[in-house]
Amino acid sequence: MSDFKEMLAAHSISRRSFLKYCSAMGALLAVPAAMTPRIAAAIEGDDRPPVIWMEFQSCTGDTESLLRANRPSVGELILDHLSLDYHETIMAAAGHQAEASKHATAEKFKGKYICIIEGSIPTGADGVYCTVAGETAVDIVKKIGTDAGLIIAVGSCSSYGGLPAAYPNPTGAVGVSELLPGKTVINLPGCPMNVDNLTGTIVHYLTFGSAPAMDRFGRPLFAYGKRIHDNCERRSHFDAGQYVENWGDHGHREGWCLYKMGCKGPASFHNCPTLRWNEGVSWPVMAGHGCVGCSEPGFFDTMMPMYGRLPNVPGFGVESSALKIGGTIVAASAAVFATHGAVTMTRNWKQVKEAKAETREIIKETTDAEE
Amino acid sequence: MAEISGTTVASTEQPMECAVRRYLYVWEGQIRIIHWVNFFCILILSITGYFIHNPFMAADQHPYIMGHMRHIHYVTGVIFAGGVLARILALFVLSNRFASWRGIPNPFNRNDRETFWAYIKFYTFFSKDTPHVIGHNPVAVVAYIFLFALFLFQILSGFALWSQADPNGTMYALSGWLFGLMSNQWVRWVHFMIMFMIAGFVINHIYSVILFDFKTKSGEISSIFSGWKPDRRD
Amino acid sequence: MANKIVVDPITRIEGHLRIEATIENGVITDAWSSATMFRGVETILKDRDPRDAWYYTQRFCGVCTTVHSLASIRAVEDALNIQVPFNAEMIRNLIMGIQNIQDHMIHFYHLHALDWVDVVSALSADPKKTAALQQSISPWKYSSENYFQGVQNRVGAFVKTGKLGPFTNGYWGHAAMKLPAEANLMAVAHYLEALHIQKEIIKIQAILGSKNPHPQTFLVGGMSIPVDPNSQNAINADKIAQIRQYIVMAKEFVEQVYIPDVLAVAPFYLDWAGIGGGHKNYLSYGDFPEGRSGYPNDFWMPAGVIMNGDLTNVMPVDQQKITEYVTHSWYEYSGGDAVGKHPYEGETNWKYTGPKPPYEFLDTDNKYSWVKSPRYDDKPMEVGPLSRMLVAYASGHKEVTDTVDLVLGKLGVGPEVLFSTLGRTAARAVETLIMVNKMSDWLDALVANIKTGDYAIHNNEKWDPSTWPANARGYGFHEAPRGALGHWVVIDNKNIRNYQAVVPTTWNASPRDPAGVRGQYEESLIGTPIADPERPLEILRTMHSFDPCMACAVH
Ligand code: HEM
Ligand code: HEM
Ligand code: NFV
Ligand code: SF4
Ligand code: SF4
Ligand code: F3S
Ligand SMILES: [Mg+2]
Repeated sequence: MSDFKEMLAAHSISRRSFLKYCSAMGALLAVPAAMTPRIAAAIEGDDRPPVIWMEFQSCTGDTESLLRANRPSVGELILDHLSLDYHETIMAAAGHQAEASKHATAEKFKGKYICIIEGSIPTGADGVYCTVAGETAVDIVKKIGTDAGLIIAVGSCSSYGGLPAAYPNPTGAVGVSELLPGKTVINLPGCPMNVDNLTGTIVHYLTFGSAPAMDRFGRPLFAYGKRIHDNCERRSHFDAGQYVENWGDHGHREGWCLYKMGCKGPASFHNCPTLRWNEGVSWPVMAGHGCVGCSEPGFFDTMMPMYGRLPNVPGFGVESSALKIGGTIVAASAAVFATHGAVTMTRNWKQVKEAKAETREIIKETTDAEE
Repeated sequence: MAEISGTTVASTEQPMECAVRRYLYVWEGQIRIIHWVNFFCILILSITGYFIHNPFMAADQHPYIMGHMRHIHYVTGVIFAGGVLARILALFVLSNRFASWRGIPNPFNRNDRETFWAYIKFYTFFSKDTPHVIGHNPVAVVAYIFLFALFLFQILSGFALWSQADPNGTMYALSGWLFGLMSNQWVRWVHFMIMFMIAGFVINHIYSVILFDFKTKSGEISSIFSGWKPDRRD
Repeated sequence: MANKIVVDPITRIEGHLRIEATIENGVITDAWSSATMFRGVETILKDRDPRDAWYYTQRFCGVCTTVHSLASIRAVEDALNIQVPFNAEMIRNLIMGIQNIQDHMIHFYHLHALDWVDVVSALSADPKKTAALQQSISPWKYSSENYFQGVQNRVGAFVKTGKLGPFTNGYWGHAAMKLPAEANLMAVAHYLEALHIQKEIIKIQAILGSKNPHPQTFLVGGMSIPVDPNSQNAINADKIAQIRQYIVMAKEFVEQVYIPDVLAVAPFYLDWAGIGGGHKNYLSYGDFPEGRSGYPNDFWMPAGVIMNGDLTNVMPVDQQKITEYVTHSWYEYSGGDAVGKHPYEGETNWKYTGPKPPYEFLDTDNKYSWVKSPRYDDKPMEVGPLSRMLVAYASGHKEVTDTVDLVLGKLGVGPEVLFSTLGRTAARAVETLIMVNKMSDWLDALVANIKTGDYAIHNNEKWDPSTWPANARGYGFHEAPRGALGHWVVIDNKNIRNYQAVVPTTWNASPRDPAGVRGQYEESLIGTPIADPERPLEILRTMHSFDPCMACAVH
């Protein structure tokens, strides 16, 4: 703190002299006037693809992820590689001005622009659960999405519904592909999506001029083609049977397998273990918490409870573990046939008694006969 | 063959002696082998499978224990798949009429229907009369059909789960379509649940073979070991 | 005749905010704040495992990506009364602290700056003079003429393409833009530098919590990042060194760039120290436990309530005085919409009654937002950095009073200017400065404790639901970047029966209450001059000074 005060003392000048200093510099230019000639001159020879990035039922986590981009950095993306004409979280314009640039791009570059969608789209109650400028997300997606040259769904919400679509899905939230049947949608699930998978997809598109190969769920193979579990650095501990049993125990500190703490790595396709997050600093398992399967269709519901291995049956609540249900099946069957056995025995008691007696008779007779 | 396919409903008071008309070689070798191969496969698959579900043994005394368990589980799974397939094939080839598809009661055949109801009445204590057939107990056959449905799903889901280790491989191409129908977590869940359903069947199964062995005094149990069943005349 | 204008979407915020305002001869006379997106996460949480709740609530928002996890585990820990190990408390403080710093940095440079900075005018700046300006305000390393020449060339080339991307239709050349070209060029350079710095310093969360956004490291009862100086899979000396390095990086940027920028820009906009005050009621829950007894004791940042800007009287916080109304929100209450509900009895029965889309105006006489209306003692409150700084300042918190006085001194103004749009922006900067200087204390405390051989990061006693009471309820508070955050949870035989969150932006962005009293956004817009209703830059300035987050507010 004190060093900071010295720094200010050393550098900053009093408000008055600062103002004087600044006002000595010329007045502002009136922008449009100044810009128009240069703009006109420069429009050709710029091949940055226009991008419309739209957020609906999102938490903006995927946009935040975008801001963590490093290869290329988000600055380079915005200035050098893309023309990010619409992105509510970043763009300078608001209200009419913002909508204007969205529609301008959509018309001018019909069939050419890249449409990136973050967050699920609510279809319930005619879409009133998400509107922008008085228009429902459903209508906007149908309009802007249909005319796009490439559609990318960033994050699990826009890919498969994600959080808003979790039981009981109050708003009828769906992923983009459900609203645009027939259109190719590149899904980049993850909660959030890992920005390196977005830059990877864009670079692939710019380099090879086509969408990357995808799996049955519309996920690029280069990012989702392998299971967490099969790339995990703790896999050897899984096979060796070395598991974390309690948070903070010896195994946890030693980096053993989190299978018994509910890790969903065995069910999740994502490149977290190889790519990692924040420029390769870490990923969930590396930091001691199991994978939650955030990149899978059906996440959240099929991946919860977080600390259990298999899903609970919806409605039955926390206690309805698979083991309990299975145990009940076996116990029931045992009980039924035990009673059946008991009843049969009592019903046949007389016969058994006679048989015993008769058998004793025969034994007696035969032994007598032998004497 | 009329009699052996028909039913003899024993009277409530069965005579304590009954002459055996002749012995029939009901369960031929291949059927008995398949039966016991599947039995042991299921035993092993259930033990290793439960371990996969919940690794209860600590590693220190068994290094690489999960690796071995999964290896055994997969190999046994392949054998089991063979066993189940073989039994289904045996419905059509290389098996006598008891073990073949003809052993399956025909709902359009009056006699078969009566036999079936006789068994149901007996099981539910509505009748004291113990029905008896040489081949399959028709109620058991229905259970067997459900059982084999479970086997087939267990095999499909098992291979599908296995194939996830190489989603670009042939196994995934053959079984991966399952994940289009249900998420892999639910596939696991069902795969786990079917284990308990099979256990439920086994209890039922062993109980009823003992039951009929006792009631009909026809060496029911030994037949799955030896193959012989007496053709009784009451 | 008043003319009603609509700004939808309000951009450079999180989420879907819509402002409707009536303007009479160049001044806003009335305003309505509306959130236009709803997910229903409080309902989704019903019947789930309370230990999982943090992972759902974390996704209320990916901007303040840690705060709802924290409030959630605190609420469950309160319900089951679980004491958290000291290591975990310090790790939580570090995660909260860097969240606050990075969130504020992004807000100032990437969400707020373009309200004051004219990117295009930067092209007409003289790089030499810009270098001189930079050197005059701080020893920051990037201050050479060449450097600013490079930035200018880059922006120039970009503008020449004619595709301004995110800067299209900005308010360039707007009458309310006051900075000289050189200040604009300097700010543009810092805009780009901050883009880089924020992603570096937030790696502290990746080290402690696997990733950002949405670190995956929280646990009811502690944290899941192991501590063991002798393991390569836990917090060890190397990880601590990395964290320290990022703290230094943050400190350097905040002290040499962020604060000097605020001090350099503010003088041009001092008129905004008289605009945007609103109700002047301030609420802070207090946060950052530092003692052995852990949360909620020994807070570094004090709790308190200030009414009508009276800094002589800081009142204690009583959570029972909190209620939420839905009179003007698209929900129904079982007891009727005129009566407020305490969060324990809270309900989220959504029912849209607004106009059928596409619509031009909302029905602002009735229900017009997805945000509920929280009230404290039936009063609308402002929460956020300004509230925290005022409560701390008024309660004589040393670091805060020192820094606030320092900044006010530099600007040659008194504390009364803090009740304003500019005050909010200044308070956020001040908070970032004292926070960035606090981080190393928490890291040192963590290190000192590890040194004693205490590696505990989780309290296992109540992990197994079988150890829980049949039913329990609790609440967890947190001072999030945007202000006072509270989660209330009711647990019924191991399941969540009711979950209610009252979020910073819920307080600030709330619509009117049954008494017709405006929310703080609405109130603070009253009297704002609008030079050009077609380009309502002034509305953005006051809205942005709150750093709105609508995903948080509605959830
Ligand atoms: C009666 C037959 C079977 C039973 C009772 C059985 C049982 C189980 C059980 C209980 C699990 C653990 C489920 C979990 O909690 O994740 C499991 C997993 C598995 N089973 Fe089976 N299984 C059977 C047949 C098969 C077959 C035929 C295959 C195919 C080769 C197979 C392959 C697998 C695989 C790949 C897994 C997942 C292992 C892993 O996660 O590493 N199973 N089985
Ligand atoms: C996993 C465990 C078992 C399964 C899945 C199973 C399945 C079957 C099947 C499918 C049949 C019909 C024979 C055929 O047409 O292939 C059968 C018959 C039989 N099983 Fe099992 N079995 C199991 C265990 C046992 C055990 C432990 C015994 C020992 C008592 C047993 C005794 C018999 C007998 C006696 C028959 C002949 C019943 C008759 O005459 O109709 N089974 N079993
Ligand atoms: N309002 C809000 Fe948040 C914050 N800070 C949460 O509690 O931004 Ni998304
Ligand atoms: S996918 Fe996750 S990060 Fe992205 S919007 Fe949905 S909740 Fe937020
Ligand atoms: S930690 Fe998770 S992903 Fe890694 S090996 Fe264990 S179970 Fe698989
Ligand atoms: S939770 Fe998501 S981030 Fe990766 S490790 Fe699992 S897929
Ligand atoms: Mg709420």
